[in-house]
Amino acid sequence: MVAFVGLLIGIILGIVWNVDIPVKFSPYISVAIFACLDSVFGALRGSISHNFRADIFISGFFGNAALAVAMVYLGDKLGIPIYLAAVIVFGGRIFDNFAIIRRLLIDKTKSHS
Amino acid sequence: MKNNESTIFVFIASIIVGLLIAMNIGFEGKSNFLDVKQYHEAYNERNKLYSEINNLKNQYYNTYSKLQKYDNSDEKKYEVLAEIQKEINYNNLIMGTSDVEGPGVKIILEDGESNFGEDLSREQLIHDVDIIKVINDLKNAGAEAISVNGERVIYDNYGLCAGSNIDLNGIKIVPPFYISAIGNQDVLYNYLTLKDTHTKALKLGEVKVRISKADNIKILAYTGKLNYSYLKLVNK
Repeated sequence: MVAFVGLLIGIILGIVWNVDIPVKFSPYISVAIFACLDSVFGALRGSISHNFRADIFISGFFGNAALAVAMVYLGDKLGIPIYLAAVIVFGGRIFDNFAIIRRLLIDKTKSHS
Repeated sequence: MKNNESTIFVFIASIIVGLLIAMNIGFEGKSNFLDVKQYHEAYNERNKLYSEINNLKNQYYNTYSKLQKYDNSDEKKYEVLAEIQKEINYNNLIMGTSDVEGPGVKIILEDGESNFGEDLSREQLIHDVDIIKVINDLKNAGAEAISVNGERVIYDNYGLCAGSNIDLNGIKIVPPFYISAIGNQDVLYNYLTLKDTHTKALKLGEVKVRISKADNIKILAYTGKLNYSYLKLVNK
């Protein structure tokens, strides 16, 4: 719930400020978004299963994004689409985390009722 | 407490993600990802433009250095004159209005021999067309200057059959025909002897053809007139 509100606020802020990133950086930002999204899902899962750790979350949030951007850059220079690796890994993890969150939430609601 | 902390972090993180998404979507309205075909087209277009730019740069550099020469020398006039003279000489060289020399090949074409008491048959004669085709072969092989029996061949030559002789550019020439051409010896020679050219066909026919390389061929200037009364420059 919090995540959606935050996402909405972020998007609205972004639209209001209307910051344009140069088209050159577009792929980097896309991958960075994916990495961040992955961290957010991880944090959600952690908060639901009560083992959230702020230091791990923050380091993952920025570290993953930075690593993903670095990989995109390297791939660009080498001529191999390495960013695919980042996209696949992060995508897979997002789905994994989402599945676990689902399970936890459903279990919770069931135990409540 | 711990849950509260995580909520705050997730909130901040999602704001950041939302910001990033909004920033990225802002200009992605006009999708900046190309499909393969578009990419290829764009790539080719870019290459074309690059080479165009290079050409223009070269051109610019040449013109600029020329201009520099005109402008920046102490003896401006002489420099300009020398440059103009150089250009005129070069143009003469290309036009064929100056004597030239260089390595190349010599071709001798002669009518075939008839049996005693018989007239020469058509196949044993060299025709105007043959001469023109041989010249064409030479041009194809990259000859830079060509002469037939001492008569310089330039772009507006014509050849006519005039009975016993051939009318080349108004000058009557008779066999044997000495054709000389300046250019890359090996290329010319190989082209004429190895490739499927008219010269080779002639050689296999009933006329006599002799081709030889020569190191220093002299070709005289074109002496005819160049008359132009209908041509006009198009204003760019």
